Amino acid sequence: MRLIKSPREIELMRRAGRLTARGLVEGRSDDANRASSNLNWLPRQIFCSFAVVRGDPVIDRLSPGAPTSGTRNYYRNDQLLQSGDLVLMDYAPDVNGYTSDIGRMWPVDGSYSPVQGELYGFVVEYQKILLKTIRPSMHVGENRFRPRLSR
Amino acid sequence: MNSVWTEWPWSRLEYRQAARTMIDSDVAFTHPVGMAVHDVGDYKQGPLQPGLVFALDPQMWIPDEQLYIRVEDTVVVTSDGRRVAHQGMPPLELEAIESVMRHNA
Repeated sequence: MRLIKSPREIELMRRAGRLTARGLVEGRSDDANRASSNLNWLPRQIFCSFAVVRGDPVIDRLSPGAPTSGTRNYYRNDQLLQSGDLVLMDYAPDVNGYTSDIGRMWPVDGSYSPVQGELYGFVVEYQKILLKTIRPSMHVGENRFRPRLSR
Repeated sequence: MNSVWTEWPWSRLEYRQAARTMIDSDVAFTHPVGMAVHDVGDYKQGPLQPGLVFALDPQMWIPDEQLYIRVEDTVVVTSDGRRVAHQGMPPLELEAIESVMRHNA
């Protein structure tokens, strides 16, 4: 019953998605691109922007050697942003009982380094291919959902 | 995909291997979304149906450098394909994200 959503449920999830997206963009624009900013500020900004949205943002600071690196979801959010960091903002708030899950990685310096662009850029290209592949009647569990790669 | 795969300018073999592991993995790849962020239901064994909503969240690990890379979108299956639940915001493309950061700096 809960697996297939009605048009009304989908509309609630689209609304959650739009609010999530705005929260991510506005939260980032206020703080995420400034080095030495405390990540705890970002969730507060999202909450202030969208009082109707409930949820716990997950914001990871990721850079080589950083204490949070390799931690999939760093919920404490008490690390200072550093120049060169990538920040994962993974956010799924509730809107009238429904949610929408979005994740993006923002470069603290405002632009991706060559290695960040290489790694995150590939994941984004892969995501775009997956998104184009989805259609009714196909099976996610089948190999053809994911591409076969040459060696 | 193969053209992206074969032409991607990997700077290290370890990065290329991490990407292949991501693509081959059945873990941390997709999950249902609804009343919970990881909602109930199994859609991986049967055909996708209109009205099904799930997240796509491919993830890549590079343990030697303690790096973890991911992106995530929530997708609605429609009668003729799919639609991203949040309609393009925030942007997905790297150049578009950098543009947002420049305009909001």
